[in-house]
Formats: sequence, structure tokens, C-alpha cells
Amino acid sequence: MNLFRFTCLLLPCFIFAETKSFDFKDSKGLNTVIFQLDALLESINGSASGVSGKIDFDPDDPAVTKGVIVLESSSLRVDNPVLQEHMHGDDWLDVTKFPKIEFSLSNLTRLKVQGRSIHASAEGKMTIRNVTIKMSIPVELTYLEGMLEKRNRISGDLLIVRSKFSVKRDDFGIRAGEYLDKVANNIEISINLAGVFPSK
Amino acid sequence: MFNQLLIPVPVIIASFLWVMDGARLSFWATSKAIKEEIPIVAGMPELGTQTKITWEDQFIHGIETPILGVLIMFALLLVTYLQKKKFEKSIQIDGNK
Repeated sequence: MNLFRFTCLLLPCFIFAETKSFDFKDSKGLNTVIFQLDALLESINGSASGVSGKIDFDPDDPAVTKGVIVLESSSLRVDNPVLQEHMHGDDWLDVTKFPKIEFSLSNLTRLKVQGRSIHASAEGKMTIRNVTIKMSIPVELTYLEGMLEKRNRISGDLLIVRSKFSVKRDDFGIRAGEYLDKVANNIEISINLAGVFPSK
Repeated sequence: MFNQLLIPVPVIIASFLWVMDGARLSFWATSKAIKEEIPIVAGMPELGTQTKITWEDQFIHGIETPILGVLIMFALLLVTYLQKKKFEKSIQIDGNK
């Protein structure tokens, strides 16, 4: 009897549980990835705006969140044109051969709810220059139900993804072991992305 | 005498331009990132903000500027020195005549 009751109580959750597919190609152009790495004279700071991808998020079961965030490598920009040319060039990111940097999210672990936000560890695979590495990235997700209307004038939900992590250029074969005295191995990355889920 | 007074001018100008642009140790830059915090939801900044980065074309002096100033100063010093030598030599020749 108890099992029957339990099933009856849970059934609506399964029926109404909806995985929402949030699109991260922001029409407002605010989705930016900021990167920083130390160099011999001064730190190199830059940004990249070519963000796209989709994340499937279920507000009732955030652990099963999955999806892909893609960054166009040619959208990486720094203040010095020579430096940018080198960065996009064959020896470094080779943006013509490897046009995309990708993070494929498989699930969330170590979830902790704090107010509106969910702090978790995003388990997935990072691909840079065709080198794929399993990574665990700390993320903060904020689900804003019905707030898309106030942002984009269309009804729907918003999912904000924030994260700060670092990658080693050695791991992705970006001049591995070379110029370490001039350009640091660690690349600090900061993301603050808004995904949209327009309601039909 | 007046020529000699002009010798340090390139260094002074170069250093001034470099300091005005923040005395950066990095190389010349041709653009500047303007960062602006935009609320994710308009009128509700308590829900968080996103950083809007606009790249503005602008020349910013780097470490090359003071180095260039010093090089120009040395070039002027050399020219002045050679001119002085030439002048002294011509006086000597005129004296011998």
C-alpha cells in the first residue's frame, strides 16, 4: 500500500518533469568568455564572443544536466594585433584547422543549492585543437523561470551559467613545454553565459 | 648649443606619451577592451550581471615607445658628435692653410 502511495505521489513528477533545452547563442551578444594568462612583460587578457551551444536542464533534477557549449576559436581577441595573429596561427590555436573549442557536459555532481543558485561540479570533456580531455569544472547555475520576457521580450526561462577554471596549454598540445618562461602554461578562463528557453 | 638642447626631447616626449597611456610594460596595442556590467534581467541587477566587452580601436603606447625615444636620442647624439668632429676638422684644415 505504501509503495502504491509513493508511486502515486511520484508519478506526477515524472509526467510533468520537463527537460528544457537552453540555447546559448545570445541574441544580445553578452555571452562572453574571458581569458587571462601570464606573460613575460604583462598578463595577456582577452575575450571571445562566439559562444553557442545547448544545455538540457531539468529544474527538478539538475544532476542530469547535459549539453554542449561551443566557442568559435577565431572569436578570441586580444589588444595587440601581432599577438592575436600568433594566437590564431598554426603554432598556437590554428583557428582555420580547429575552428571550435568545445565543452561537452555529461552531468553535474556535488550539487549544492544556495538561494537561487546551484553550485556543482560539471563533469565533461573539453576539446581544444582536436585534443579531448575529461574535465571537472566548478559551475554555478541560476535558473530564472519566466524571466526571458524581461530580457528578450519573449516569454520563457533563463539559465545562467557562471564558472572560473583554468586549462593547461600543455594538456591540449598548444606549444607544449615551449616558451614557458614567456607565456604561462595555465590559462585562466571565466565564463558568464545566459541561455534562453523560449516557451512555445 | 641649441642643437644639444634638443637631443633629450625625443626621450621626454616618448616617456610622456608612455606614462599617459599607463606606463604599460607590454607591447603597443591597437585596441582597448571596454568592460561594462549589464544586468542579466533589465532592471533587476540583484539577479546578477554579465560583462559586456566592447573592443574599441585605440592606439596605446607600450614599452617600445620609451625604447624608441632612447634610440632616437642616441642617434641624435651620434649625429651631433659627428657634426662636431667634422666642424673641428674643417677648422683645423682652415688653420693649416
